[in-house]
Formats: sequence, structure tokens, C-alpha cells
Amino acid sequence: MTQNATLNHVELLSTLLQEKFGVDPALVTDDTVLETLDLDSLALIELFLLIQKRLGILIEVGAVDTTDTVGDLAARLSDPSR
Amino acid sequence: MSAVIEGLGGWLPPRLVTNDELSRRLDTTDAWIESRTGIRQRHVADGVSTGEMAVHAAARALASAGRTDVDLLVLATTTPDRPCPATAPEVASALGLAGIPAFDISAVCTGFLYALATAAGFLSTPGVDRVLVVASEAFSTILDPADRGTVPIFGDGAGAVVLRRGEPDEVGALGDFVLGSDGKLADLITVRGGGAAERTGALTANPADRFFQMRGREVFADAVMRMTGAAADAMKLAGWNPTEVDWFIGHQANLRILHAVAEQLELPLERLIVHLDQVGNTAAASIPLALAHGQLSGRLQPGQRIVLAAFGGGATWGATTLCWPALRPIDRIT
Repeated sequence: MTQNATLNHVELLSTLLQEKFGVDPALVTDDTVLETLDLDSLALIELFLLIQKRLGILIEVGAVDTTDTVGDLAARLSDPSR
Repeated sequence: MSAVIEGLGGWLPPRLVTNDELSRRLDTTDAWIESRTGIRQRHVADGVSTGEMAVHAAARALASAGRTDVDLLVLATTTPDRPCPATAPEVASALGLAGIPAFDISAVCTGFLYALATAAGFLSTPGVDRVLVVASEAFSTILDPADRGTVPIFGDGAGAVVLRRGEPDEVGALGDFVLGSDGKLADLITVRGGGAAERTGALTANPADRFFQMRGREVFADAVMRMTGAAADAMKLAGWNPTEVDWFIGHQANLRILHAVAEQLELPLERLIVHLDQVGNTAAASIPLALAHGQLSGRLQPGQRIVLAAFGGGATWGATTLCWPALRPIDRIT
């Protein structure tokens, strides 16, 4: 997948994070570590569930952790088989 | 033929444990517990047995139904008084019902729905006109008292309903059941020790095996997806659109699970009956206690369309629909 696709997914995640958790989009970049957005481990799963509902993409528990970055999660959206 | 709810009762032990009390002896805070689970307090059995709680709740359900006799008693519990025999026969005897068939059902948090389905099946057989379905849990007895991951979550208590044989279009009628299990997920929710595997040496000894353990994040994800799927299937069987549902009463494990299921089903959050803030996760007893709470608070009204769903150890899951009955008012569940 292209880098552009991953960047678009960062924007998509920013929108979902703002909608679901009130996260300021200005804080969401490719390099942002997820736990710095004040998300606990359950919040990450809530985000995975929202992604599955909206995009039909399944991300398994443990595939991405709160110590990973928004970019790591975006890459999963681009290629769920990683 | 349909199973119809005729009576309802709940019983919570008097000892109340708040988040603040737990924060004084565990490395946790009220804010952390509440933000992570939605739970503010729980009741603890503190010497009252699973069987005794079951008798209290069942007696209230019988009084609610205006009955003194039933043809069968089914008790859903994860915490039987003893590994052998089942607790149900003693509960039946204590209620003056010695002689009727009585057995336990073990499906952890899905136990009440499994028990309801079992009772509904028995009601289609001759000679079984009325069934007492009880769920009773003394979960505090299987928790590691030092485990801040589980002690704040679980509470004790019991709930019961009386079911009678009736017709599908009656107020109080239960719909079709959607039930399932997946043994590959057996290790998500466990008390590993105390059973035959430990006694035969098939289990490597570990002190933690005496206590309840749960893989919280995986349970969260599986619970949301299975409760959503089962509830959606149950609504489809009933011919209900989510917009036609008055109340969703999910197993009361975690407020964030209930919210996630509502989001998946596209149900407004106002349609959730929430009881876990007051009583914690009471495992198999959580749904009947939530029903009793809904009746006590006046939220549940005759004729309303209710969806029940649960996910539990096994893993197990289930859902059903019902039309709320006209019951005598409940004035207490404590």
C-alpha cells in the first residue's frame, strides 16, 4: 500500500479518535504514541470495534498496543494481514 | 407454547463495599475503577452462602408469582456451595419443594440465559407447568483478595424468575433463544484449580489457580462481538427492528461493554438498563438482578420489548427477547 494511503488512514483515525474519545486532532500524527492520547487498553479495543463497524476491518486484540503509534495502527488499516 | 415470566425476585447481601473502601486496601482508586468499568460499589456475601442467597431470591420470585409450588428448579451458578452435590436440591428443599427435580447449570455469566432456555424447553414437556429459574453467585469467594484487577469488578447476589407455560403473544412471553459456546476460548475466564485436573496432576500446580483469573482485554472484545451477534440474531427471530426495542438488558460486566454493544446495534444508550454501578458484575445473577432493578425502579413496564444478552466463561454466549410481564411491584432487592 502507498504511503498516501497510510496518511489518509491517519486522518481517518484522527476523526474516529475525536468522535469517540474527544481527542484533539492536532495531537494525532503518524508518530503519536497511542498512550499519550490518554487511551487506556480498553479504549484501544473500543477503537478497534468502531473501526470494524465503520470500515469492516478486523484488528485483533494485541495486534496494536498503547505503546505503538498512530502510524502503526494506520498501517494495519492499510494491510490488516500484517 | 412459550415460557412466560410470572414472578421475579432479587436479593443482595447487606455488606456493601464501595470503591473508596477498596482503594484503601488495594492499589486502585475510585476514579480508575469507575472510568474503566462504571462500577461504584458492590455487595459482598460475607458468610452468606450461594444456596442461602438463592433461597432468598427464589422466595421473593415465588411470592411475586403468588405461587408456592413449581415442578422444577434450575440454579445457574459459578460458585456452588460445594463441588458435589449441586446446590439446587438443597435450595429446593429449603423452599419446601423437596421432591421436584433440581439441578445446577454452569455457564458463568451466560448461566441465567442458559437456565432460562433449559426451563423453556422443560415447559414443553407434560407435567412441567412451572419452573423456578434462579441465579446466585458468591463470586467474592473465588477472588484473590489482593487482585486489584478482579476484586473491584465482581459482586455477590441472587435473582430468580418463575416461568409458566403460556402462549407466544402473551405479555411476559420469552422469544426464541440464541445460544453458543467456543471451547477454544476456555482459558479466557477461569478458576483453574479445585477440579479433577488438579487432583489427577494433569494441571501444573500454581498458587494462583485457586483463584478466578480473566484475560480482560480479550474478554472485552469477544463479549462485545458475541453479545452483539446473539442479540441481533434474537431480534431477527422475533421480527424486531432495533428501533422497536424498548430496553436492552445485557450481562452487567462493564459499562463500556454495554455501550460498545449499543453502538454496534445502533441502539441509543438511553435504552440500556444499567445496574452494575450499584452491584458490580454478579456473573450469572446479573441479568435477573438487572430485571428486578428495572421493575423496582419502574422503568420496565408491561408490554415493553426487551432484549437480553450475555457472554461468559466457556466461552459461552446467549440472547433472547421478551415482552415484559405485568408483575406485582417489587419493593426491595436488598
